[in-house]
Amino acid sequence: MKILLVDDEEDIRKVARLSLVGVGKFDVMMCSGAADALTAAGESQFDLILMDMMMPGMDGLEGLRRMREADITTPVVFMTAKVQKKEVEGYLAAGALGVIEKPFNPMTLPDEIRGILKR
Amino acid sequence: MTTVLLINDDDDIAQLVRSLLQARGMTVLDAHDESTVEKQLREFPADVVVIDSDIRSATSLHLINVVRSLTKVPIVLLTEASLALRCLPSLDLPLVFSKPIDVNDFAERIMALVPTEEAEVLSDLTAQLADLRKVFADALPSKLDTLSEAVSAAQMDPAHIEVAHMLAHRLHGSAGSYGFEAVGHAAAGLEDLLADVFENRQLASQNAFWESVRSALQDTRMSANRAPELEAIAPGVLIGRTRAILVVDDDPDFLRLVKANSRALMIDVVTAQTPQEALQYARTRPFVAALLDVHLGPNTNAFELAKEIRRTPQNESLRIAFVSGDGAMQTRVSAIEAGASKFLEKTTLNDSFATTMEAFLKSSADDRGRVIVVEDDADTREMYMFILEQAGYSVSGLECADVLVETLEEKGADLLLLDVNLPRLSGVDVCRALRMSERWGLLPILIVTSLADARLRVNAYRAGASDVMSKPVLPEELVARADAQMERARLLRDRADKDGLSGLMSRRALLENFQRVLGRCKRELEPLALVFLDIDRFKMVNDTRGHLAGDRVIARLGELMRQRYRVEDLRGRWGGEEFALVFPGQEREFATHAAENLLREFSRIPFYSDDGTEFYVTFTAGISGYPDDGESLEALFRCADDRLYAGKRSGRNRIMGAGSLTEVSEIWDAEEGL
Repeated sequence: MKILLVDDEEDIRKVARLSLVGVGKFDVMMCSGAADALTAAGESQFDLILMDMMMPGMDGLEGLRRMREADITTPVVFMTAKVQKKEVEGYLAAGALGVIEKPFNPMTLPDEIRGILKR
Repeated sequence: MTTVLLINDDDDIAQLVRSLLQARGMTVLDAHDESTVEKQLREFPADVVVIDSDIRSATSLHLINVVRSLTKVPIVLLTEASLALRCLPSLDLPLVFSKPIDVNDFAERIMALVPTEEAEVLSDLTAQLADLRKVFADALPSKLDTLSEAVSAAQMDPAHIEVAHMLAHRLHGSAGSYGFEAVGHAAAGLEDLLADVFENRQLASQNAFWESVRSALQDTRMSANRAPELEAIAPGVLIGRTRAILVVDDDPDFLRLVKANSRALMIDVVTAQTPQEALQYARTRPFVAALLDVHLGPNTNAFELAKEIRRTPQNESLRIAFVSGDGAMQTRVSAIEAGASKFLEKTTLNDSFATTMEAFLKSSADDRGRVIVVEDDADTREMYMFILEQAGYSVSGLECADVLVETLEEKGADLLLLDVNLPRLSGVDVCRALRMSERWGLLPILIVTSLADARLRVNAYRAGASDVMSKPVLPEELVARADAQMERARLLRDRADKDGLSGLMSRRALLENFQRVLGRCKRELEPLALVFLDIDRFKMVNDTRGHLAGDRVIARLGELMRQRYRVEDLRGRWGGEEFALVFPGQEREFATHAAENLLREFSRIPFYSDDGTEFYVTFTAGISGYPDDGESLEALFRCADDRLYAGKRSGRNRIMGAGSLTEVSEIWDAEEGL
């Protein structure tokens, strides 16, 4: 399974990559911004895009919107610290497949992702 | 696949060992002398080397040196007992066996020596993760400095607030993922404060605002200083569920005092100065308890705040304590309705804080579940206990099963962790024996084996084990399996103990718990009060408003009763439209006040009939109390029931206390509307 990991912060990319590759046995490609992610997702096929919500420049929601405009239908899961009901409903309404709360536990992150994919 | 190099010239023993190890999926290579040892090890790297000392061409000591010069893998020596004693201390070998060997023991311990692939990958991962965390921890001070500078710059020029906000946001997201949870939470507080400026630009010019920003920054720094200490206690353990306490007070000095106190007690405290802050924390994480100042400033009702905190999904059953100097009845009633288990006075807080918080932590661990660990090896037992305690369970340990039944009866248990190899009785036999008793037939039992042997697993399951896991035990796996067993047991219990419509206790569960609580009140010479209530004219509601509307009335009253009162107060649906409420430690007068408040609140809730018309509902309640109205459960129910029916006869919509008729006059007379 191929995952595109999008986060502007290096610390998060490092720990999430270790978790996704090491614990989850996923193939992982990384981008540091939604604009790069748009290009990457256009060029190659992923099974899932795991994207930070709050990023400078283009945020996660905007990134998702542009992907859908560009006919990129890969499922998107947001990572965010803002997980109040109203916000989560907003993400889902925008077309996200699910939301993962930050901070995450690197030992269980892949299970969370599998859980979302199974729903 | 594990490869074993067997250095041996006694074919009989070689045959035996080879078949033992091969049966367990290992590849066994042979070598007979120094030169073949060298050849084999160069061509086929082994995971373990087994040396039999009866080798004529070279002494075992020399062979050990040869192997050591070629590889770092563990060496197992098979030797005569006399030789074993002589060379053991100087050789520094992980395993020495004296002949004749116990074949199963031998195979098992060789297996234990070689990490299985999965365990290897995971321990490797844990190590990599630890490295990453170390790098993060090293960079943390400079990150905090950058954050401080950004905050200072923002105070000088509000244009820089966005930068400071972004830095706090990043720290919020990353620190927790690296195990620095407290830093993450503190940074979240700072992030939220700074975000307030985006809504209200005025804030940036207020000194008070920057003071709270500074204090949030200080919190972040302090939690960063504390993190390494926690690390030292739990190296590599990532599963520690935090057992944090939320403290809400508008007085920053008091919060500092509590923080200082809590550090000494090793309790994780999260402080909030405003209700917004408190709710923000409560929405994002579970707490064991909340401590709230009754007087939170002119525009804040601490009782309402407590109720709101309890309404957040992760904090439905948290303990609540209020701090106040005011002990008036109405305050106490409001406090208990809002869920307060404890009232503290600010002046004596230093002593009572510690005991109260410790009691809260203890009872919360009991709520999560009690685990008994039976394992004869002290180090292993303590490791299991530590891991499970970190996961929030209440744990006790035994070194053998001799007094297990007595311990179960005395302390109770929700999960039993049994090692297979126990002195005298094996874990499998213990399990079988427990399954034969009626009382412990359904207790979740988790058996730990060191043999990755399918037959032993089958035996364990046959004996009635709920789950079997093999050594080496990974902390995450132990907790995950314990959680799964507990959750299953809890679901089963809930299905039996919970009334589906109201979400309150079923009649049977209420009776059982009432009996237990009454017994405790008798022993501790404490009073107890019972409220027995019946919804007025419920049959008419069902007939004229529709059965679905009737169901909604029951469900709403259940919800109201669930959201009010302390964790230890019992709330149950007696049947039909009858409900019962039990307040341990309280007098009848208190229960009367509480029931009046409940009636007032309930009677103001608008309901809608199936065709959409609005209507209101009331109830009538009778109060009784131990010891004044009787000593037995039956006497208390009979007395409350008599008063309830006196109330129905005298016009309904009222609370009947001890002898005197109490009527809530200002409430809506719902029966007119029916």
